Amino acid sequence: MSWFQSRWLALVWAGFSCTLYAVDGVVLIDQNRALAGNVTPGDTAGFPVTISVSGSYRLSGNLTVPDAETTAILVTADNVTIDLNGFSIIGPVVCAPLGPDPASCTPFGQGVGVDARGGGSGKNNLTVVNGTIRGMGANAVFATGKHAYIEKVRAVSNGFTGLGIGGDAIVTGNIVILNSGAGIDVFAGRATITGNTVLSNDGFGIRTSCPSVVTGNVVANNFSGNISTTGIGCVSVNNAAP
Amino acid sequence: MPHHSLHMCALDRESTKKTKMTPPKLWVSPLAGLLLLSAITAHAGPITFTFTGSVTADAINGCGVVVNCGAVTGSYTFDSAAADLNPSLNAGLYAAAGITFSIDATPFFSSPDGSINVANFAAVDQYGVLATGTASNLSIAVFSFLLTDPTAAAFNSDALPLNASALTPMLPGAFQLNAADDTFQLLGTIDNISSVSTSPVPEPGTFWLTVAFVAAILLRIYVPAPR
Repeated sequence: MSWFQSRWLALVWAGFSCTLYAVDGVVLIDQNRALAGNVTPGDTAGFPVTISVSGSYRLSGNLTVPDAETTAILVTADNVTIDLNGFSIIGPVVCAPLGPDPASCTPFGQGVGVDARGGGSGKNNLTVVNGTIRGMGANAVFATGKHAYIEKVRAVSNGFTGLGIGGDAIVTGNIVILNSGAGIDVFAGRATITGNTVLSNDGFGIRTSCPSVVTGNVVANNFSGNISTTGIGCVSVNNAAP
Repeated sequence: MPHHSLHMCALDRESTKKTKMTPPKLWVSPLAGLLLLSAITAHAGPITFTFTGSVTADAINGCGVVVNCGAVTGSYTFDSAAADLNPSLNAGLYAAAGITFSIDATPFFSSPDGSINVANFAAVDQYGVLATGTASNLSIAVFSFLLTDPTAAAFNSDALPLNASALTPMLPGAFQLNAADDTFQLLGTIDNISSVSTSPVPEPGTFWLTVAFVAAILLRIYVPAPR
């Protein structure tokens, strides 16, 4: 067995065992780790980073995907927390303001920043906080499960919806600008949507089913309308939404 | 390397068939095989890159507590014929070995194995090294450095760069060295990468397989078969 064969076998073995957990149990992810794979079992080399184990994950650098069709992080487990840690998930899509109308984006694709759809019902209890997701082919965040918590995320210049979220969610303190679909789109009710800045998106600024609370948001210049609530039982007050 | 051995086995089977049918052509296949093997082994070999930079911060302790924010030197080695383990067309993953990392000329981290990433994306090119190893304080740590060309002009493919000069346009880069027990988190820059010239040396395993192969052929020729 050659020198590199033996070392590569050791590397393969190590790859399955060397996911670095910080002392607090958080798994660090950067571009190198994303491209090398084995962040969690079943995560192959390259994008998307597949998170198949519940737990806490933290970016330690920006993640850059190759094209608009590629998803950055694919969540296939419930109870996952992703701390963007001030870093960015970056794709190639650029959305420019188009006169008084919102975003005109190119190219489009199927890539999602954080995708927790998980087939059908989606993965529950996803948390995404504290960073930027820009330039993805489709959504910045696509979480169709319940009880998502999205905070302090800048979802900017994405090819479809900024934050596409399931029911029973809390969406707070985000900046959602220049996306080619809705800004914040909550597919089911019982959401708390507060303190967000949602500007110049090509669909609705905030759209949710009722009952939900929509309060304290700045929502302006969105092409399809600024706030849309469907059903009865929504509280939509104290928003700056002309 | 594995494909050398497989290739030789195929030649061996082929030459055995021809031995029974056309003895005068016996030398054609082994000679061709030997020529091919020598051509391959002459070009495969370890290449070592060294790098320099500096620690700019320890995000946990601040500079001077665990380490000084000093000068970084390090190195890593890879095989010039390393296989691409990432099936993607625009991203390559290659084995690396012998990763070292020193601060102010004092060894601080090392790892026997790691990986090299080569990304040839449409909007950006990237080159990175990743390794899990042990620091001098015995903490398990992950070393990761990344070079980026935002103009995407550095690479034409995801092939492994064999000369460090190919990475020069991507400098400076950034590194991080994160301890699993949170005793340190070093951040810094990679300012220079250079190649250490080494002579290509055939792998010992390939060499001895070649010798055995030739010996087997000669035995078939000169040793009469028992009646």
